[in-house]
Amino acid sequence: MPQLVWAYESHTDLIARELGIDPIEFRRKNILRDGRPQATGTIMKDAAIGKVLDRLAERMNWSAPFDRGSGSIKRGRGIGIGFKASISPTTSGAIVNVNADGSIVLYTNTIDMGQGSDTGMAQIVAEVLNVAAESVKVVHGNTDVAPYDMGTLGSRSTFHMGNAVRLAAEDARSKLTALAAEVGLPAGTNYDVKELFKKRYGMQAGNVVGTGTYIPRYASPDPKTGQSDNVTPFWMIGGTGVEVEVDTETGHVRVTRMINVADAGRPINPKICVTQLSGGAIMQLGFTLHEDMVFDSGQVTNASFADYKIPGFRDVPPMESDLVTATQETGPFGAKGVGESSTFGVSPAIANAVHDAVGIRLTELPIKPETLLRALRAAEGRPIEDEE
Amino acid sequence: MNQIGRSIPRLEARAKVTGRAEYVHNMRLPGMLHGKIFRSTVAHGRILGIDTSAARETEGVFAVVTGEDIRSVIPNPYFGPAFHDQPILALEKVHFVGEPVAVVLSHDPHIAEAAVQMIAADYEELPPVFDEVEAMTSKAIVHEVLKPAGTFADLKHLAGRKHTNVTLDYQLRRGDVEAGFAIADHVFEHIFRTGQVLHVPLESHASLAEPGHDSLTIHTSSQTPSFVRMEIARLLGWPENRVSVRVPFLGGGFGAKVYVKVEALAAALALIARRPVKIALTMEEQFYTIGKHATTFRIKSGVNKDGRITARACDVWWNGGAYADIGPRVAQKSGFTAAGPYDIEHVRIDSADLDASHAPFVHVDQEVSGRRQLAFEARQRIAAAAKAGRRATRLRRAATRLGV
Repeated sequence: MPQLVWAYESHTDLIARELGIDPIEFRRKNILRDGRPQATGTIMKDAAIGKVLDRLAERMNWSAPFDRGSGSIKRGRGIGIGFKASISPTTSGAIVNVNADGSIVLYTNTIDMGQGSDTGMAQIVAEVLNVAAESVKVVHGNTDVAPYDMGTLGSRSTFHMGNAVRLAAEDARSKLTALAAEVGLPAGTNYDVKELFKKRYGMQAGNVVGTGTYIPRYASPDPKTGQSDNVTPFWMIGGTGVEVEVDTETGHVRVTRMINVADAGRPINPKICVTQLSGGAIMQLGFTLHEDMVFDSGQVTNASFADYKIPGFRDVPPMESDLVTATQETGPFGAKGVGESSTFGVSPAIANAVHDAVGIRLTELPIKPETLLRALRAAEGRPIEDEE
Repeated sequence: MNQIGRSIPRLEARAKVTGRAEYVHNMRLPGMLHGKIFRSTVAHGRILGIDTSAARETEGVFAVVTGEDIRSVIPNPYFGPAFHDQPILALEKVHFVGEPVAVVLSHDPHIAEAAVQMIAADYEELPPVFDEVEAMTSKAIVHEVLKPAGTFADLKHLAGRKHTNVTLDYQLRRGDVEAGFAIADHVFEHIFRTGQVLHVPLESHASLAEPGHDSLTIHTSSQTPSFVRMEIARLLGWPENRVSVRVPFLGGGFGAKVYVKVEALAAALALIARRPVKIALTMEEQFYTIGKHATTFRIKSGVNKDGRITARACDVWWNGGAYADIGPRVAQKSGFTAAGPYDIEHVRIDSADLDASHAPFVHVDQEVSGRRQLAFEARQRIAAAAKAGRRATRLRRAATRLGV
C-alpha cells in the first residue's frame, strides 16, 4: 500500500510544482472530504483527511520562511498523505470469562507482536466491566479455547476484534446483571461480583462467560466498474512531513525532522498509538533510503543483515508523532486501526523534500546516494561515466 | 475509572524486558527433531532427480524428506489463502531460487544443516519471468493452471485461469476519464517503481509441530492462528478440532507471518517422523520465504486552471512472485484507493497481481534492473539515449511495452 502512496503523492507534488501552486494548498483544493464519494462510489465518513493535512502543515510551520542550507548542503521539505480501505468482510470472535472471585480472562486469537493488542483489548474489557485494565488476563493465540479470528493483519484488529471484545464483555455484563436478579438483588444495586457467585452457588464457584462475534457490513465491488456503496468498514489515514539535508557532494540524504500524523479515531491507548506511528515510519524510512533486495538471475545476492540494511538507531531522525481529534462511530468506543497509517507518507515526503532541496526528481525506491549523485552530476552537465 | 484513552504501559512489557516472554524459537519438547531445508538453486525448472543418499547416510540424521514423501501423509499437498498453488515441498517443478525442495531431520540442528549440503538436485531449466510488466504478456508461464482456494469472502470471485500469470485484475471506472482529460488545461503522466523489500521481523518464522494420538498441536509464529488451523485440517482431511494452533508472543510480523508459511511443513514432518519437529528459519531464509511486492505504477492526471484535478488514470502492476499468497487481495484492495485521497470526478484504475519466478511477492534481477530503470527513464531520456546503441533499443522496447 505505501507503494501506491509513493506514486500518487510524488505525482501530486510534481503537478503542484509544475503549476506553481503550494503543495499543501494544491492538496487542500482537491482533498476528499466526508460526505463526498470516493473513487469506488462509497461516501466518505469518519475520515479526517483534511485534519491530518492541516495538522501536518501546522506542525511543519509550513507558512514560515524555510532555511535552504548553504554550500554543499541543501535543505528541502516535503509532505505526503495517504489512505487505505480496511480488509473486509472479515470476522472476529472473543470470549470474556468472569471467574467466581471477580477476576477476568479474555480469550482472543488476536496476536500481540509488539503492537500492544493485549493491552488495548484489556482496556476495552475493563471499560465495559468497570475494572482496571491491568487486572485483566489476556489469553491469546490458542485455537483450542479462543474463537475464530480472521487474522492480526491489515490494521484490522482494534476495529474488528475490538468490537468483538466489547460485545463479549457486554454479554458478560448482562449475564452478571441477570445473575444479580436471579439471586434476588433489586435492579440497579451496586454489587460485589464475588458475592453474586457466593449467593448463587453457595461458595466461590462458577463462571460467567460472555461471547462476541463481529463482522462489518460490506458490499463487493462491481466486477466491471469496481463500484460499491460500502467498500470498507473504516478508512486508515496518515501523513508525514519531513525536512531533509542533501549533501550535493555525496548524494546522501539526511532526514533532519520527521512528523507523522494520523487519524486513529478515538484512541484506546494514545501512547501506544503514537509509538506505533513512530515504528511504522521507521520501517518505511528503511524502504525509502536503505532497503533493496538485489537479484542475479532470480538469486538474492544480499540475503543477510550485513548486506541488506534496515535502519539502526543512528538512522532514526528526530521524530514527532501526533493524532488528530476524531471518532470512528462504528469502532469500539470510537477507535479505529492505526498500524499502517504512518507508513503511507514517508517515501513521497522524502522524495518531495529532495526535489525541493536540489531540484532532482527520483521515481524509484530506494533513494540511494549513488542514484541521487548521478542525477545531480548529470544535471550539472558533468555526468559520472560508467566504467566499461 | 475511565479505561479508554488511558496511556497505560503495555501489559507484557515487563515479561519482555526481563527475558521471560515466550517465543517459539525458545521452545523445546522431549524427542524433538530439527528440520533444515534444502532449497532450489534455479528460478524455474523441472526436477529431474534429487540425490539424498549421502545425506541419509550421515551419522545423526534421522530422515531426509522430499516432496513425494510428503504425499504419504498429505496426498494433495498444495496450500495458499487465495489459490491452492504452493506445494509444501517442491513437486515436479521448482518456481523460484530458494524454494524448499527437501528437508533433513536430526536431533542436532547442526548435523541437519551439514547434511543438507550433501543433497544434490538435477533440474531441467525453464524460462523464468522476473519483471511484473513483462509477466503480463510473457510466454513464460509460472503455473499452467491456477486453482482458487475459495476461503475468503472478499475473494470469492477469483476464477481458475490457464495460460496466464495474472492472478487477479481489478478495474475501477468512475465517470468518463477521457472526457475528464479533454476538459483539463494540463495533463501530467509519470511512472514510479518500488523494488523488492523484506518485512524483516527480527524473529524469523518458526513452527514446532507435536503429533498426539489422532491430533496435532502446532506452536507457531503466526499472525493468523485460525487460518493455520483451518488450512492444516483441510490438508490432512481432518476436522478442525483435531488440530490445535498455539501462538505465544511474536517478535514482529508486519504481514510476513500471515496464512501458512512453515506450519504445513512442520506438520507433515511431525506426522512422517511421529515426533515433534521444529522448523526455525534463519534470518537469511526469510529472504526466500516472503517479501513485499515490487510494483510499477503509471499515473496520469488532468488538472484545470484552478488547480482542480479533473481526471486520473492509474495502472498498477503488482509483482506477486511464484505463488500468489494473498497478492490478489492486495491488488484488489489497493485498487480501491490507487487514485489517492482526492475528490476526482473521472477515475480509471487497473490493478493486476502477477505471478513471477521468485519467492512469493519477491522480485527483481540484475538484467531486469536494467529494464526497470528504462521504464522510469523512458520518458525523459529516450532522445538522449538514441545514440547509446543497444541501450536505446532496449529503452524503446520498454517504452513501447509501457505505452509511453
